[in-house]
Amino acid sequence: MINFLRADVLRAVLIMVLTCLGCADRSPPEAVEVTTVALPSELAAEQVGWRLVGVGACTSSGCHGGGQPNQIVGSEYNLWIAEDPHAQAYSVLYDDRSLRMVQLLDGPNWDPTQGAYEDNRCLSCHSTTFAPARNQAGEVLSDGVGCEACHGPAEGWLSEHYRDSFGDNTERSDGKRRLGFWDTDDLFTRAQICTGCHVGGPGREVNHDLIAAGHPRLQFEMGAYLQALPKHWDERRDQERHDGNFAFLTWILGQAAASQSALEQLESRAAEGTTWPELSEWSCSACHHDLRDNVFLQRKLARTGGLSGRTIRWDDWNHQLPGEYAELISHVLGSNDSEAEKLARNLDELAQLMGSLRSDRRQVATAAHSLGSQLEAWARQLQQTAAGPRALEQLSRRIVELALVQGVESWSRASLVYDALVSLHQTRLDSAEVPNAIDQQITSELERIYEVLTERYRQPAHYVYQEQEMKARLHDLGKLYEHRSRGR
Amino acid sequence: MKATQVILCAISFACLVLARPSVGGAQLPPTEKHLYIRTDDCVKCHSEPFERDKAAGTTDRVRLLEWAIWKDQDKHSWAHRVLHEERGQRIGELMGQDVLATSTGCVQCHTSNVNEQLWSPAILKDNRQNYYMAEGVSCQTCHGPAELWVLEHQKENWPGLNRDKKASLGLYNMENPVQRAEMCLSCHQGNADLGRVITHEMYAAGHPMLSGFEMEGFADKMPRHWRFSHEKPNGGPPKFDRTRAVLLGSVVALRMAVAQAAGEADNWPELARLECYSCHHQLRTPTWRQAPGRVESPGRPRLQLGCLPLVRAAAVFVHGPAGEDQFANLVRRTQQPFQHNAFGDPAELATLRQGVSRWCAEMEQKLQSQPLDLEQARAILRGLIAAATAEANDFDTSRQLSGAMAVVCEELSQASVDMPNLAILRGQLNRIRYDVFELSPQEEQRVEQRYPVVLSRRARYKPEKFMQLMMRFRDQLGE
Repeated sequence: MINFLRADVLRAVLIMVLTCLGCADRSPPEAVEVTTVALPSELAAEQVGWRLVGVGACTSSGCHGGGQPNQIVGSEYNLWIAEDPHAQAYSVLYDDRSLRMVQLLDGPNWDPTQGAYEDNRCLSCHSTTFAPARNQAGEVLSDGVGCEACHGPAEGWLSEHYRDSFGDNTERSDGKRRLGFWDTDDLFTRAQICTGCHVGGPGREVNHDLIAAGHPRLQFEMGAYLQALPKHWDERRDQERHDGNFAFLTWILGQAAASQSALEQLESRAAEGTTWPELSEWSCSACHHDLRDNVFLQRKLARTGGLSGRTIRWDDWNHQLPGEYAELISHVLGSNDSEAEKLARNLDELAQLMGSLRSDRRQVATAAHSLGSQLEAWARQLQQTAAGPRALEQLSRRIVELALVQGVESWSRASLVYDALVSLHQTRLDSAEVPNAIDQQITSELERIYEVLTERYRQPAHYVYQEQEMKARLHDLGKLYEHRSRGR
Repeated sequence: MKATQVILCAISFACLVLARPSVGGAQLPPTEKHLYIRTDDCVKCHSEPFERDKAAGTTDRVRLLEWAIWKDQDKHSWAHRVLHEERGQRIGELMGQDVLATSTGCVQCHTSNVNEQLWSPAILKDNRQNYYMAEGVSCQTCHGPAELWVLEHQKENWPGLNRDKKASLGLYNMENPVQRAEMCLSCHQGNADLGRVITHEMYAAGHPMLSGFEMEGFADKMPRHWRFSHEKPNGGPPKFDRTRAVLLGSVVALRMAVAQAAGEADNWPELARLECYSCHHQLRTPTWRQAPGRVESPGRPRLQLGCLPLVRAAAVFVHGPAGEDQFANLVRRTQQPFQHNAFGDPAELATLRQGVSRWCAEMEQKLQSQPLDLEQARAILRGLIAAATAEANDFDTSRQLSGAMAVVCEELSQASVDMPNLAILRGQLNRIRYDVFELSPQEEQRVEQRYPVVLSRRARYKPEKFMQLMMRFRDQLGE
């Protein structure tokens, strides 16, 4: 399997080690407020009313805590607690960085007796707080991102889900939802659950204040994150359910969910009574660079009308799908172009609005809202559409062509292109019985790009992104794609 | 309260009201009334004494070097020339403007007195206006239009005339530290009333940064063409005028900076009013920017107020220990407009301007009320060091602090104060200044060579290191 870009694998490991060392004996607070957060729309209705039971209710040795070393099913809990960074989500709130963050965020109003582990700004993602706890709130809190954070509050389905009648067939999934059980087999729903925190939304926000206080910036990409996650489920079932298109669908539905969550978040940020503008909506590097006396950059700014600083680049990390991939996909799949065009047009309008320091919050909120709904409809439509290997090959070629025409001016842009190509190539490898020689060459070429991009993590102090190098690599890759399609 | 105090208060209040008609605005030279004369008419007497004075042996009425220093060493005399040069022309090209045209506003700072209606017939004759403009920032830019005072100030009774009389003739009082600060800052920071405004657009097109102006430190680098009062004949002993001017200059800078930002509500946010490096820094963690207690809320830009640590020293000097609280409150207020609007809410900036103007006016009045003595100057040095060690400060702020401290040290050493380590510390301080902040005269020469060096020094600057040096300084001083 080829590697996705993983910005924070190392960080996650480090956090685990540090937190295991640092905070074994601390007791969590007894009670916590329920955080109002926006869950994916179809989950939101069901979660109302059901309470959380906590990880402890799932870990019986006969259920999910079997503790069998070479067996995942039946030992889901053991894998999660030992390897899954989500299990440490709460304990990181005890470390020095978290302490300092709260201190910085609260400034003169800082209360040294209140830790990040009691702070709803943190807990809404670092624990499970979207529903009340059935009994011991503190215990549920200290579970971090436990079972119910992704599978739904279990009060209603705990005593049902092991019965044969619960099943996993789709006809019954409405009934399961009514009990508060979230359907993580549905990839778009799964993606929405992930992006609820990893991108954010109302009530769950990594804004510029948090980043400035020390929180890592969020840069979610579903395929990469899922690859890095120790899977406590049977991965073969993922492949079977999606006709071998699992990697492709993970990528594109992850993109859709990320964009949707980011839009919901933008809408809530633009609401009256909040801080506006929210600086983290803009591209970090638009402002954050040391000042240099560089005539080339000055000329570039002048050409794009950016000298005054009143126009600024909206960060499009989460919006690749409505921006361009939707059109490419509908083109190669021969589906309805007009919907994809509409997505691109509406995104462009929103980007125009967000491109100003004085963007109108009402206009932004309206535009973000309508684009979010269109996006969800488009994603649901795509789930019903079959995508054959030829279409996906064609898609890879288009993505490379587009990248070469538009340029890959930043590391972020290059890594988004890379993740897209890896997803598509993985899809091919998953479905082909034996990869042919060209497939293997493509694998090597992608690995080379991976090396170039991850240099950033190995040499953070000296890394300089080289667009020309990236373009040369993509050019070679494009040749291989062309070769492959001609050989067919 | 004693009667004398009441009277003093009343007088100073009256002065305040009369001297400063607009809150926060600078008192402008009376450019509307008087004509500007040829600079040539100043040169003769400022390079050669009158026969009258030669005969009387009083050839030290002026330095006689005023013009030569300006012409030879003072960058103000190149101010217009840079508009013709590569960088000036490129800025114009990128902004789509003619930098030499009076309408674009560049000349408001890069030369003087651009209103031809106010030029004397002698200037206009023989097309001399080109020559006049090309002089850059010359005598009358700062001293005021000389039509009426040029003859008067040559007379023997001139030094005895009172200030109001001189002002009515058009002479701008550069000896008064507040008015001097207002004049310098009108260009080096900005004053919209005089059309002297720097914008982010100009910076982005290549205009060197205007930040960290500290009047007395800059005057040394100018270099100054004037004498301080104690250097003049019968000037008496040094009275720490420059130490006082350091504090006053910072208070005036604060007042004018806030007024300028608040005055731009229609066009807000003007990013040039915000601290450059609150946004323009590389992203890394951990960083000194995340030091607890440094800012009200992290992640928000701040007003460009490099003067603040100096203001802190001023507040402590004027108000004693209560000055710390007043200062903390002041800093909080300057950050308040950024709580709900990431770039500062214009309405809240207007409120801030009112509060700051009032507070600064009171500070200015108190700082001017009496001359400083030696102990007070020592206290001010301690206050400056305390400000430099209280928190990590950015490049421009630390540069101002170091310049200000050098000035106070120099005045203290002139006053033969009993501080055994002063000479050593002065040396160390100046070494830090030239290692970290300032350029040598050779490096200063041309902007094309200078500016990349200036920027790379800023990027390399380590606030914690400066803070540690200042702590060592404090310990060695043993104050």
